[in-house]
Formats: sequence, structure tokens, C-alpha cells
Amino acid sequence: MSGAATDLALEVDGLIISYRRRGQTLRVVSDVSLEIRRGEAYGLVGESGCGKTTVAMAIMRYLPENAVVEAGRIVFAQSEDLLRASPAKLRALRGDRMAMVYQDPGSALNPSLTVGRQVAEVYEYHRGLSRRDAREAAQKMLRQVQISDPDRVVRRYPHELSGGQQQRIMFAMALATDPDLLVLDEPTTGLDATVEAEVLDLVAQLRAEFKTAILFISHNLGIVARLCERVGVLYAGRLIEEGPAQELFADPRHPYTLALLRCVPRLGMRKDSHRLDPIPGSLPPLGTAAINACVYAPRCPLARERCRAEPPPPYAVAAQRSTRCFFHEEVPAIAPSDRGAAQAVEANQPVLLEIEHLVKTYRSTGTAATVVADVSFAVRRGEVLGLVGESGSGKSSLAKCIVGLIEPTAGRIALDGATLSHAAAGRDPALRRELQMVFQNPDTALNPSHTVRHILGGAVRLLSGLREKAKVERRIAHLAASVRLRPQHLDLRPGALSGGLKQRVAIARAFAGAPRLVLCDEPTSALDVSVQAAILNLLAELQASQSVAYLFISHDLGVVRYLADRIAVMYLGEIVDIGPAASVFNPPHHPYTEALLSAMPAISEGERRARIKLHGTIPSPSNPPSGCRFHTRCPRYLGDICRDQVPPWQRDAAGHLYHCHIAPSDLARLQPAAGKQRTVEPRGAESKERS
Amino acid sequence: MSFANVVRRRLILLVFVVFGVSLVTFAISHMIPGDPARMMAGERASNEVVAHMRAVLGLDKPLAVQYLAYLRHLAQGDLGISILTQRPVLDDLVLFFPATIELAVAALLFAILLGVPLGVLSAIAKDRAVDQVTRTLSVTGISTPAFWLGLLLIYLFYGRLGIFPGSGRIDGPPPLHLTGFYTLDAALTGNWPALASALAHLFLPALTLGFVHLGIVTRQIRSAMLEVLQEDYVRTAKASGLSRAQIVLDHALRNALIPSVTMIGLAFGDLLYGAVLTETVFAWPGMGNYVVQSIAALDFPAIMGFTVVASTAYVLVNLAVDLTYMFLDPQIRAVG
Ligand SMILES: Nc1ncnc2c1ncn2[C@@H]1O[C@H](COP(=O)(O)OP(=O)(O)OP(=O)(O)O)[C@@H](O)[C@H]1O
Ligand code: SF4
Ligand code: SF4
Ligand SMILES: [Mg+2]
Repeated sequence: MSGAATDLALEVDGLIISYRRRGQTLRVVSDVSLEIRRGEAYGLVGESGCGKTTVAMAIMRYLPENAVVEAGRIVFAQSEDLLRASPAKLRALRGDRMAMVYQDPGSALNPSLTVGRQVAEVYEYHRGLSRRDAREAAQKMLRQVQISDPDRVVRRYPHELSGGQQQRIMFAMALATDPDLLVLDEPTTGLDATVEAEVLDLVAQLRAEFKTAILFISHNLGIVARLCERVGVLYAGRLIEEGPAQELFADPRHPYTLALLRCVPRLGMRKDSHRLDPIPGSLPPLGTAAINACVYAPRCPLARERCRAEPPPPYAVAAQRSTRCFFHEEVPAIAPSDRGAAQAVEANQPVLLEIEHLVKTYRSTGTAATVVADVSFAVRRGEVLGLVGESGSGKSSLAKCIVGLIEPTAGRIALDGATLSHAAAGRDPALRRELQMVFQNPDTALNPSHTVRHILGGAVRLLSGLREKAKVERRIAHLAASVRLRPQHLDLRPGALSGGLKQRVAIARAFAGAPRLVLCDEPTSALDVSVQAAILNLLAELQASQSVAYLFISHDLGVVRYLADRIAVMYLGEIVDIGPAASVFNPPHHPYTEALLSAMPAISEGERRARIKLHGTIPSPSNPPSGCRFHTRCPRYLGDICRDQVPPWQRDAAGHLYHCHIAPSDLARLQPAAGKQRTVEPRGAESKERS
Repeated sequence: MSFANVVRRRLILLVFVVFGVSLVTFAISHMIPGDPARMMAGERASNEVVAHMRAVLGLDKPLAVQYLAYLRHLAQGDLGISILTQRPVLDDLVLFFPATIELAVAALLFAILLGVPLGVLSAIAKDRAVDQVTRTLSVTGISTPAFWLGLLLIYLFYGRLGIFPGSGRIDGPPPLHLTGFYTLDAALTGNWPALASALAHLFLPALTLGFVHLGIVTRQIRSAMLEVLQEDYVRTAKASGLSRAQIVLDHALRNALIPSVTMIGLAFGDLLYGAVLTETVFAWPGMGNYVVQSIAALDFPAIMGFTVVASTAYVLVNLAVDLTYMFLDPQIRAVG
């Protein structure tokens, strides 16, 4: 591809956008300029609320009614200023030469039209095809976005498809007319890691095929690093740094970019060696970002007088690189705010939680779905057991059985050797206190009509047995301090707190007694990376100081790798791989673990693994495959033995167990370690093509 | 859930509804004071005559026996003899019921055919003049008493302009009896003069009865459309550059109709009650008059017959609503 600067697919120049809300005009996008060349993928990253979607919607000319474009130009294909185009012109461009794919495919597809119809419609309208030709064209496009069995899928309604398939349909609609520009707004957020990886593979392949320019919006730095040539970092509506993806992530020149990168748990980082480095403070509330100063000054370790007096202009720091920071030369020297890592918990502690042959079957008329199928494992005192697996693998059901939210069908749960009754009601209150749970979404877990003090007070009285008012108050203050809530937060209701603060309240509540085991079900997946970093630090500290154990469920393997001492991998209700964290992450490991790890988005090349694709989707637990449950999707499938015989447990030297017919010595030869092999991904192909 | 399943469930429900409704009506009509035997025989009849009359009507037996006998006859399709008209209740119902249904259906069609486009228009032109006018119209419709509107229309179109008849169902002989719906019978037998006359007679009463429901339908469609137009998939349709008409009609309206079907189906029940008033104003020979007279005369068999048939109609309307709903919403079709 030529890549000459004159060959622009999109040029955004000095864009300023405000939202009108209750009579106020709140600025969300300030002076954003960017260019995307033909066939180039440009990544726009930034935390929630920084204005990414607003920029995307402005480009599609599809802003909400209360949005005002105060200034700027958006030039499409070096001809149209979209901001001045007539509605008829816009309709002709949209869906034809520019197309968009949204975050949530479930709601972006019309529930009462077949997906085939929805794709065909684009052909009918923009290409003037007859109904029949359009249907054929749609089928062909579904094949291109690699939907299995497209002839049947065309007649399906959106709710009959999985999230990954729905997103493929969205891509089919967007690509139907071979557009010059494709805007992707968090197209994989909310999808499972393996599905996400597949969708990203698809994007990369389609790029090679269609030569479309892409604006890729994401809060996930790893994904952007993998897929995009150039990246822009947005903070409070300003593009604060821009440059080639690899260079920018390897050597950031804006304090915010650097800070963002330090929040992400990377390869080789563990809770006992590296403290994560959350960004102090928080994003300025909407419309309050300083216009005549550096927006990042309130949180910046380098901030000085000058930063508060005038806004920094873009500085060109290298070829194609710019940053809006006066003191960009000092950025590489910013030291991590090292406050010491949490202490490691001593090995060989006695067993705390013991699960033996646990089974959970959900029955409904005529069918029985066994979502937890004969699971056994143990958690030692003060240990973090990470539990990973695709959605539908039974992780949450397992956790709910343990805390007694649902009753297991069979099996034994023991805490400190004492068997727990299946129903929470039959459990000794003292034991119930020792088992606590933190949920994914703090919004639904906290009562919105109570103050934080009330919420924590209730938990203290219930879980620690304290009654005396002064003592309860002291305990509340202590709890709040240990999760770093400020005293003034205590009198607020959850609605007035940010997501991160709410999650702190939820954690404080779980620690109100003196829990021995806390089950964390995706506690950080609804949070931004900088907030996630703070919560992970907090969990690591609490673990070390109170020697509490966690069963930590997450689909983010980077987070699990950082926090867990041991890891269990679940597939279709069974544990297929379990052992010390390092040995599960390194080969030999179960083929499913291998595939999960290969789907991990990594920021730097060195962390990336060869992509291993799984066939199809996770089977239904009401009708699990015979033999090895993974055999229908296993990339290392051996043949009849896998289909017919339940595989044995294999043990490797590191004390790591996995459930497979392939012996550790053989697997070790097949599986390369991370970064040891050239990644077989289209980005590699793309750069070859460029050189 | 399959269509057959829904039909089966509704039909089973129908048996229970008919049983329950007949039991309640039976109990109530025997608890209210008044002696139908005496009313039949006349004020001055001797006690023997009244006693005889009571025996003829079966009123001398214990209540439970009377009720069981009623149920037995009901199962055979026999609704008894009307005390007032001295004809089988079933024959009376066959005569009067179609008239009422014809009126209600015509009113509903009017409300839907006009209300859906108005609601859509109102939603896409939200807060603009069209919307203001439509909203005013729908509030007026909902709050206008039917009898008042009926009298007004009769005065205007019949009294002043003389372009529509003001009472009855038809001039001249009715068309050959096939279904009892004059318009349908006339059309089926190719009797065009009768069709024209039946339609002309239907016009004012249907307009009167339909006007209230026009308001309800318009308001329902408007709010459903406003909600659907906010949905992400409408954004997708816009972003893929589809025309406005295609977005509104193919993408939005289809989904807005789903919640509206239930609403409109429920309204049909109200429509049957509303018909009684309208019938009085237009001297429409439907159920309205028949029921009012039967109640005044304590004509139990007629009252019970009417109740049973009306509740059957109600269950069937609900069945139709369910089926339409399933037809429109693929997600319901899939469940269960
Ligand atoms: N229609 C609207 N009216 C008022 N404020 C809005 C509107 N839409 C978005 N906002 C606010 O504007 C800011 C930027 O929103 P935007 O959706 O562009 O952010 P984003 O970077 O895409 O965030 P996310 O990662 O959460 O998707 C946020 O504070 C948001 O609450
Ligand atoms: S301009 Fe100043 S406040 Fe802004 S990022 Fe640079 S050093 Fe920090
Ligand atoms: S037993 Fe066979 S199918 Fe199962 S994981 Fe091992 S190789 Fe794959
Ligand atoms: Mg967004």
C-alpha cells in the first residue's frame, strides 16, 4: 500500500463537540484532529467517558440530538465535509462508503427481522439488487465473514445466534458495500475472550481482503496494539498523544499514556513482585475539563505552573509522533510510585476449602443441564485460586454453590474440615460469616437507597457480631480506611459514587466480619483499567494483611496471572487444568488452556502467542460430548480415543494436573512458550506486505 | 411455543371460563329479589298460575339441580328458552349477536386503519404541528362520551346533510342469511344494493364507537414508536443509510406493533361494552337492546346465554391476540 500523506480516507480537523444538558453546554470533545489513510487501521483508545463514541458518532454524522458541533471539519475521502453534507448525500454515504459496527450486537440488530433480510436490505438499497439477488449476495457475504452454515443462518432471527455470530452479521452488513471507511466502536467488548479473539482475527483478515480504512475504538490497549498501525490516546475529550502503535506503547511520551500502560498487569508481573500503579484522582466530570490549561494537570506527577496556565500544543517528538505535553522529554524518566508489593503468602498452608465431586444440575421440563459436573479441588489458607473459562463453563454456578446461593445436586463442600450443608440456611452462622462474595456489578449488589455507612453498618452488625454503637462506628471507619474510602464517602449513597468506589464499598462489606474465603466473581470486569489496578492492589493487600483466601473468577487472564497463586481452568462444567499459576500458563498445558491463552490480547509483541482457533461454540451442558468433553473443538484432537474415552488426569513435574489423553512430555513438544514463536497473525502478514 | 399449543391452552381455558362465568351469573341472578314466574304470569295472576309457571320454568327445583340441568343443556348447545321472547335463547343470540360484532369490528378497523398511521406520523414528527394536532385529537377521542358524539353525528349527517341513515342496519330486506353479518352476507351473495345500504348504516355507529378507540390506538402506537425509534437497531438501520420510510415502516413499526397488539386486543373487550350505548343511540338491533330488556324482565336464560357467549368471544379475541403476537414476535415463537 502506498500510504502517501495525500491518500487520506478520513481527515478530522479541530473537532469541538458539546452536549447540552439542563441548560448547560458541556464540552466533551476538544480540538480533536486525526487522519486515517486508505487501508490503515487507526486505534482510538481512552477510558470510559473520554469521548470516543462521540467522535465516532460525529464521523457517522449520527450524534444525539442534544449534541452541538461547535467547530471543525470532517473530510471524507478528500472531498466531502461531512459536517456540511446534505441529508440525502449522507444517506448515500452511510452504509455505502462508510459503515459502522457497534459494541452490543444483540441490541444493534432488529429482533423481528431475519438476519439474512437485514444484510440483504443493504444490497437492495445501495446496490439496487432485486430481492433474490440481494439474498444471494447476503449469503455470499455471510460466507466471507466466516459464519458456519450461512444457508441456515440467513433464516435465523438475531436472538437465535450467539454473540460472536451476531457480531459477524454486523460485519457482514457493514462490509456489504465494500466501504472505504469502517468505524468499529468497541466491537468485542462484552464478548468472551475466545470469541473476541475470533472477531479480531476476522477484522484483520477482512482488512487484508477489503483494504478498508478502519477507525478502531477500544479501551483495551492490547487489542489496539495488535490490530492497529497507528494509535491516538484520548483523555477528557483531547487527543493527548498519537503515533505508530508499537512505538507509542513501547515508549510513551505523555504522562497519561505511560500511567495507563502501568495500570495493566503485564507478562512477568505478579502481585508479590510488582505493585500495579493506579492513576491518582479521577477523570474530570463532564464539561469541567480545563480549556486553558493541560487537562491532565490535576493528576500529573510532572505538573508545574505552566501546565495550569496554558494548554500544551502538540509537539512532534519523532516521525509521525506527537504529544500534548510541555515536559514530554521527562516522561520516560517518571518513576513508578513504588509503594512495595504485597507479601507472598507462605506455601504449604493447611487446606481451607475442600470441594469433592460437586455436581449442579438445573432441571426444567424434560431437560437437565449439568453445569457443574463432578468438580473437586481445594483452596489453602490465604491462597488465591483463579478460576477461568468461557462463559457457559459453569464458573459462577460453582461459586454460588460454595456460598450457598444455590444448592448443589451432589458432592461435598468442607471448610476447615467441617462439611457445610448445601443450603445456606442450614449452615452455622459462624461459617457463613467466613464465606463472602463480591460480584461483578456493584450497581446491582448495593442497595441504592442506603448510605455507605448504613450498608457497612448492617454488614458489621451481621457479620462481626458487634452491637455497641461506638464499636460498630469504629469498625466502619476501619473498613472504609482499609479499602481507601474517604470519610466523606460514608454519607453518600451508591448512586453518587463512581464504579470503582462502589466496588470498594462492596469489598469492604465482604470484609466486614473476618472472612477466611472471599469469592470474587469478575470483580473488575466492569471497571476501567486505572480503577481495576487500584482494586487489584487492594485485593492483594487485604489478602496479605488478613491472610484471606480468594476464589477469583475472571475472564481476563492477565488479571488472573497477576493475582492468582493457583489457577483452575473450567470447560463445560469440568475442571480440565489445575495447578500453580506459572505452570498453568506455561506449557505443557491442556489444549483448551492453550487456546484460551492464545486469545489473550497483549500490548507488546513479546507477550503474544500463536493464535489457536477453536472450532464452533461451547456445546450445550444438557447434551455434553462423549469421551473428552472438549473433543468437538480441540485443535489437538487425536481421533477416536478422544471421542470415546474419558481422558485421564496427567501430572507434570511442576505438580500441575490436566485432563487429556496426551502425556506431558508429548504436549511439551507440541506447545511453544509465549513469544517464542512468530505469531501467525495477519498483522505480521500486513507488515511484510508493507516492507 | 407452537401455534397449536397456544390454541390448545386457550381452548382448555375457555371451558373453565365458561363454567366459572355461568356459575357466577347463575348465582347472582338467583340472588337478586324478584320472581320471574310472577313477572311472566302478570301482576294479577293467581298463585296457582304462578306456581304452574314456576314448575314449567323449572324454578321450583333446588338451585344446585337447576344449575346442573343448565350445564347439561349447555353442553348440548342448548341455552334454554327466553322467558321474554319465548324463543330459544340461541336463536335470539344468532339474530342479535352478529349485529354487535359487525359494529365492533367495523369500529376497530376504523380505529386501527386511521390510528396506526396517525400514531406513526405523530411519533416521527414529535412535538411538531402534526403531533400536536394528533395528540389533541386522541385526547378528545378518549374523553368524548359516545352517546353525545352519536347524537351529534346523527344531527349533522342525517338531520342536516341527510347523507347517512341515522338508525337501523339496512333499508329493505336483509341479504340472504349466511353469517348474520349483513355486509359480509351481501358481499358473498353479490347483493350490491344491500351491501351499499348496510355500509351506509354502519358508518355513523362505527365512527362513533371507533372514535374513542382511535384515541387509544394513536396514543399507544405513538409511544411504542417513540420507544422503538431510540433502539440501537434503528441506529444501525440509519447508519446503513436506509431510507427514512424503510426505517420507519420496516424496522420500527414492526417492533412497535408487538406491544400494541395486546393493548388493542384488550380494547376490543371494551368495545363490546361500548357497543351497547352506541346501539341505543342508533337503534341498532344488536345485543345491547336485547340485554337491557332481558335484565329488566329478569330473563335468566337470556342473561346467562348472553354472558356465556360474550365470555367465549372474549377468550377467542385473546386467542387471536396471542396468535398475532406470536406471528409478529419471533422471540415469543421460540420460547418453550
Ligand atoms: N446524549 C448525551 N447527552 C449528554 N451527555 C452525554 C451524551 N452522550 C454521552 N454523554 C457524555 O459525554 C461523555 C463522553 O461520552 P462518550 O460516549 O463519547 O464516551 P466514550 O469514550 O465512548 O465512553 P465509553 O468507553 O464508556 O463508551 C460522557 O461523560 C458521557 O456521559
Ligand atoms: S503538560 Fe504538564 S500537566 Fe500536562 S501532561 Fe505535561 S507535564 Fe503533565
Ligand atoms: S483428550 Fe483429546 S480432545 Fe481432549 S483435550 Fe486432549 S487431545 Fe483434546
Ligand atoms: Mg463508547
